[in-house]
Amino acid sequence: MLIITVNLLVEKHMLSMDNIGLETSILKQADGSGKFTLGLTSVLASVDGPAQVGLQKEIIDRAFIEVHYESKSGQSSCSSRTMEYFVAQLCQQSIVTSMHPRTSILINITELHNDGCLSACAVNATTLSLLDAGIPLRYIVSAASCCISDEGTIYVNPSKETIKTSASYYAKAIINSCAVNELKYFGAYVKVAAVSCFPVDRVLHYRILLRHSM
Amino acid sequence: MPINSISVKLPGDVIDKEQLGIKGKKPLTGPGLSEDDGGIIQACKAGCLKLRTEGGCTLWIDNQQKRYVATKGDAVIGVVTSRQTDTFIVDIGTSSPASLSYLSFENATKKNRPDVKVGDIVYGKLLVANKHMEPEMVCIDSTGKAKGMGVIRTGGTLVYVSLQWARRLLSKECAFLSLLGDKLPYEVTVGLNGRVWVKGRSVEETVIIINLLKNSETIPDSMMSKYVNRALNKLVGVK
Repeated sequence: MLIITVNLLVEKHMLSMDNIGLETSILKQADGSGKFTLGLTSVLASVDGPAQVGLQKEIIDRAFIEVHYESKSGQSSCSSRTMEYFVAQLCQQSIVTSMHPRTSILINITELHNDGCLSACAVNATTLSLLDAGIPLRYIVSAASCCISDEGTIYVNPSKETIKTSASYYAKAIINSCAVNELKYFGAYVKVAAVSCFPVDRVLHYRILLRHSM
Repeated sequence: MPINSISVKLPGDVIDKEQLGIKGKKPLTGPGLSEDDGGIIQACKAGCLKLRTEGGCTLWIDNQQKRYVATKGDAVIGVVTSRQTDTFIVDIGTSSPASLSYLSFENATKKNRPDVKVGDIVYGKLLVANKHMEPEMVCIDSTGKAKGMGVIRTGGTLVYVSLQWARRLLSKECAFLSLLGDKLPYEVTVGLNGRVWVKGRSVEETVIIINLLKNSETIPDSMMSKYVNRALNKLVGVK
């Protein structure tokens, strides 16, 4: 069994957890929008739906989910297709698509700045915008990034520099609020993700509480 | 009506029935909640869990949303987008537009068709609303009377607000509309689909009312009278 030490406190290697920023309902035209900031990385996502869908994209028993990703340069590349696929797969699982048959749910993700952990931020921003739009979800998906250095130390939410220097691995771990046990990568990952996703849940909770305590 | 706000729930949170003090009786689950075969109730939207114990137990989640999802019996405001041989197509903000039969107006017969044009604003109730069918709207009640429903012709403006604010405007707890009416007489119709039709005595007053309506969404009920009075007093000063 592989035993890995999780180093959460090496500040120079990771994006500071204090710099987590969440904003919802920032776009007026979209049905739901959310901005997620982690350190210097910042991603904006918006959701439109359940909306009318053309005949070609119509699925009779569930909603059609479409994800668009726009990078900072505005050019679409292979990596942005990968990002779209990654987020779309997660949304397919988390959204209760059978609740809105013959409709479309369009998700737009815009990169504002990239300093590492971009895909994790994109997932978190998408989750925020889905919650804001009131799309029915099975659970909350939040994400964190990890990289493993030569010595076998895991760095959570690494900065771009750290990812470059880390020889071995860079991955993202996904966790949701109800199906933690379903994650069977390796033990350390679940732990890492749980630690980093906690603030997301907590801040969300706090924000909704504020809105409703009025 | 005893409605208790209990706690904030996020999608995936399991609602503990024993903790809420619901024993024996099966609670009725409203929007934002889903119940599986085993009777376990889970939240599927983020918002405040509410419980009403009057006439059986009702549980629902009050969430903030902009997109309207058609619900049977809701009073909505729509815009006529096209005319077909025996129906009008009305946009009410849902994923598929609602149909409105020309016979579902007061005093309408096959020979006496209602005078409805494309672009007209109609206020009516949803007779059919489920996820598999397109919603159907009517402008009469079950006895054939209009009861205030029908085409709104007298000018005014249509504004879009969030669904939660539209629901709050219609609730007894929120005094916004009556407070405003004390100082500025106006006409208003609120649709549960987040559309509000407003008409003041003049265009200037209509604009003032619309701006106040859009800006007071985040004002709590307890502060509403203070806020509205202060805003209106400022306006008097300007005039």
